[in-house]
Amino acid sequence: MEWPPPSTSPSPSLVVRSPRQTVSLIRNRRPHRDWAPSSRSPSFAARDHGPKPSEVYGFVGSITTVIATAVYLAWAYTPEPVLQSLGITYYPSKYWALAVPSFVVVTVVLSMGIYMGLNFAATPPPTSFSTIFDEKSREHTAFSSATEDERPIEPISDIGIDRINSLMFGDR
Amino acid sequence: MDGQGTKHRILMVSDFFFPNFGGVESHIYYLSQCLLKLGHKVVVMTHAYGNRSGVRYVTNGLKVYYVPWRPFLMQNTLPTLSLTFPIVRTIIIREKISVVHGHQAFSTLCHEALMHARTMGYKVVFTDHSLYGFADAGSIHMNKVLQFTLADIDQAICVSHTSKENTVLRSGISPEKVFMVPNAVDTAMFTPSPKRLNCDEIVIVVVSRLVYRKGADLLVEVIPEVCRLFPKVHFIVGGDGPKRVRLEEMREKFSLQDRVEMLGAVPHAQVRSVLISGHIFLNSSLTEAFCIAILEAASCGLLTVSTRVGGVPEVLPDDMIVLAEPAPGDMVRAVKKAIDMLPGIDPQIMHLRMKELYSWDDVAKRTEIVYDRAMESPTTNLLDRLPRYLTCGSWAGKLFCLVMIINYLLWRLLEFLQPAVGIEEVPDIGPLHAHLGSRNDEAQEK
Repeated sequence: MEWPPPSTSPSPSLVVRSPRQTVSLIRNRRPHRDWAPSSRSPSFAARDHGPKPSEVYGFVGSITTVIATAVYLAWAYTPEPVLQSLGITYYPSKYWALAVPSFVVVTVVLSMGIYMGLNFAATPPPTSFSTIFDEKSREHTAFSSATEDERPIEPISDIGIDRINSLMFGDR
Repeated sequence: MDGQGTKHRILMVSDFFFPNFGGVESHIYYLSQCLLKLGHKVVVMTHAYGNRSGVRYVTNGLKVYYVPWRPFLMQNTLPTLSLTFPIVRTIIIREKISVVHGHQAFSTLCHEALMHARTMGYKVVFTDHSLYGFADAGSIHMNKVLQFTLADIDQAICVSHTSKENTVLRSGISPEKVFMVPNAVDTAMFTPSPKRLNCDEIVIVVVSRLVYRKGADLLVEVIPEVCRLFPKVHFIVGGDGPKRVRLEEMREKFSLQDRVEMLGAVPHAQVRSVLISGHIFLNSSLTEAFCIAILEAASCGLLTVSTRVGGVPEVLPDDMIVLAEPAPGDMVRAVKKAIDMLPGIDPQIMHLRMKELYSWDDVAKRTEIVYDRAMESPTTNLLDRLPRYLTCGSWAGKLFCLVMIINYLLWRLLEFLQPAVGIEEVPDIGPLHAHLGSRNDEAQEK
């Protein structure tokens, strides 16, 4: 029995999911492909039964973000008498409209600073053995098959600092 | 050889390198070794791994900077946008780098180094090693970061045509800038067994991490069915991971302790000895940009059965691989077809074909072409580059421009605080394989 050839129909998900300028380029070049395109994945079958949950989450997420942003800006910038006259009498203190963003900014800056400090603390001093040797160092194993035609790429191994110094600086 | 093209000085940047193990790590190491053989200078930059910190020299004089930067998540450093600029700048100037080559879309250090090198006016090349989706939250954010990095890249490399299409769609980079350079296998290390195995007992080998995206759940359903249909089939499963418990439970449930052997984690140096004990290699990945394990198995003379995902159909000729949909029933049928094909397979002939199809020397030559192409692209300043970032989106574009302007100002500040002319350049040690050769001769003389 001959194995069925791979499907030559292009996957519509490539066209639908990413509406970019390059899609037209890809589509124009599609007839000239000389390799078998990857067929549809099993999760693609779920697409035939309505929208995928991730798409719904994405849509609801974007709408919610816009509404939340509008509400936040209205709450932050509208003067209190105007809010009172509109009948809105219960809302969180405007103090938090400034405090929460400030907390976020300070958190980001402090995390950067602390991370940098942690990295400096993790730096070994110049006299430390960690700069030239550690438990993961590997000795160089001499290959005896140098005369063979087929020679593998040598596995990774460390070159000692003494050899590097002699190679780099010679007899100086 | 000497008059052949210009010699590049390449800085490989990634969060993933030895002592970590994986496809990206192997790719960077083997590619660097072959580029060194071609006469280029290669330096690797990665973050510190535990006590492995500072500057090291590895095989053939490959220099590795283990920058003391703590890993934050899955061996990735914390994204800080600009805090890596001083160390990246110092390394580039000290080593007189001409091309910065970043690896892996999920590497924070790679993205930051490419951004800084671009600000300083150096040529940048990026290699993408993985496929990403378009719809889940992680992929959406990752694609935006990739779009930012690739908006102003010189050249990009993907490991398969499927991976190239995936990267172009995710990032919007021009397809003319993307080269397809496949992974390769060290065929000298993966050689078939000198004595051909008899077919009285058929051994199917699985070597992969036992995680979801490698399809471990598929194995749980395929192995019992194959054992039921073919009494003379045995399985060898190498690898460790969260799904190993499920495979152990499957063995208990179907009483397959004597027919399914679990090896646990297999060091890469011992993968060959595992492969040559089998007739068929089974790969059940759910997503692959390129599959090096398939190359290693084919180089050892094994017939491959694999899921038809990502770039896998591009890897091997049809008579070396049997493809199946990632579903248990289809995979069982593919295994049956492979067992029928087995008498016609000659491991030695397959190995010789693999040696011609995939070699790291060929990958290095093609990468050299990419570097030459990158060097030919025009040098641009900040004003020429900002419009490229603006096209990334209505809001993201402006944010990206702001980030690049701040990055440029930071570069000028670093130039003021520590001028480039004041940074000492590192002397070169020259091609080390010549020294190694002479060293071996001296040892023999003694």
